[in-house]
Amino acid sequence: MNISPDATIFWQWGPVSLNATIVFTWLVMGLLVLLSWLITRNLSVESGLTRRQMMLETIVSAIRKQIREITGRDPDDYLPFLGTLFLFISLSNFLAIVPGYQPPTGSLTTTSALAVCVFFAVPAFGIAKDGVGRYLRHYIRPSVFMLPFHVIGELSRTLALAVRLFGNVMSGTLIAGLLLSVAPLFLPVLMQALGLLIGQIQAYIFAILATVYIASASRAREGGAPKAGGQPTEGG
Amino acid sequence: MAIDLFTLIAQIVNFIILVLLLRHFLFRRIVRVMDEREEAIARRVEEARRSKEAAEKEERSYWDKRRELDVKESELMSRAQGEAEEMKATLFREAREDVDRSQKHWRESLQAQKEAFLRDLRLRTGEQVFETARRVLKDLADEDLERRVVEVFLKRLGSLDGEKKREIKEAFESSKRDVNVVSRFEIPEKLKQKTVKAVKDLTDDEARVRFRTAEGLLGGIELEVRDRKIAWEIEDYLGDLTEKMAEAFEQRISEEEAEEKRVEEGASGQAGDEAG
Repeated sequence: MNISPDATIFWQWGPVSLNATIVFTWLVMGLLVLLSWLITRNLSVESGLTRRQMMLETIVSAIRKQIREITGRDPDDYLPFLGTLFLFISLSNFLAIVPGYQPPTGSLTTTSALAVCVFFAVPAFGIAKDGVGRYLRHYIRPSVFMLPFHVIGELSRTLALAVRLFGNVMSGTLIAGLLLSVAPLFLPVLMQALGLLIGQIQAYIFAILATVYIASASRAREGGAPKAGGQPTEGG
Repeated sequence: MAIDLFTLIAQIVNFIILVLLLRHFLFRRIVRVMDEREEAIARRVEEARRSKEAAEKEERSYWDKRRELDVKESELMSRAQGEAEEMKATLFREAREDVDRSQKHWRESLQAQKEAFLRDLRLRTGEQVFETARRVLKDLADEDLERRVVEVFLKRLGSLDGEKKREIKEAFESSKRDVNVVSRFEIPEKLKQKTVKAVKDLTDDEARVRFRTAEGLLGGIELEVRDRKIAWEIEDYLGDLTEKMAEAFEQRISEEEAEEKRVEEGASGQAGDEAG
């Protein structure tokens, strides 16, 4: 039994390998883009809203609301990045109910890739707002001795992000596989349902933590005490 | 469990591509539509607020106008009522005056009719009585009534008391000695002479006696000396009849007037009730 979809390789040429992680990521990407394109093809402003548009608007509004509550700013700057993060993880985990599908988020490579994206996104958003100098200055606050701790904090939380998501999704798949060999009826269904729930919660947690990191970095630069969310407590 | 570097890079690239794609196909479009809708709603709310304000303003002005109109209406009503009362009183007064006037006119015309009737009655009765008396006298005593009338008149002249005689005499002296004898019928010559003699006896003088006939004397004869008169007429006998007829008239008129008054009072009472 393969724990990680990375191990399922469809095609390889030297270091270039086309494994299940990449293939299922493409599948999720394709689905997301296709659905978005289908729904946003005919958007209506006034009356005559379709149910699909309503659903999409509800999801996007909820994401915007969350971002606004945490960052306290206009959410539209962060929306594409954080929204994509949530939707990708959410759909990846949701499709776990399809037989034969292996969630790409169950691969440490994928979660690491996402964590790396967040790792770079935090300073990218900060610098985009205030410039390099002001952003970098917060690493030496309140004292220059804090610099190593800041750097360690950044790295550790990126690692934590990656491992948390991977661990949860992987464990869900693993438990389902184990239970299937022990008690093939009923119990795996329940665990599958639980796995769905956990998958959605993880998507939420990942996106929220990414938002909090971006927001807290910005707040630190502004010199104010963090309000909602504060320094994130990490758990899992 | 190891991290494959190629897959890691591929996933990062995949994610970045997904972010770009979703930004284009999903977030921008949906956010734009939502913003547009919000703007449209805000615009509509603002329009509604403005409309409401305008409506409230309109309503206020309407109520002001309504109140104004109410005040004006009550003023007009009270004025109209006052005018109506005034007009009613004027019309009542005019009607009363009209009624009084026509009543007066009616009474006058009635009086004139009464007088005319009595005069006519007196004349006709007199004529009838005269004619009857003449025929009765002729049939019973073979006497001429005219002659008897003249003789009775002459007798009366002869039997005048001193006071009357003196009055006649005074009048005669101040009237250039003219004496008129007026009768309804032509006096026969013989009686004329007797009359002249009687006049001269009365006046002790040469008097110019002139005879003439007049219709209105009712079978009588009259001696006129300036403003003095001595007469004998059948009318003297008819005085009582005329008086009785006049009395009957008066009674009838007063009865009618009483009736009229009663009707009038009833009508005015009813009008008063209606006005009340």
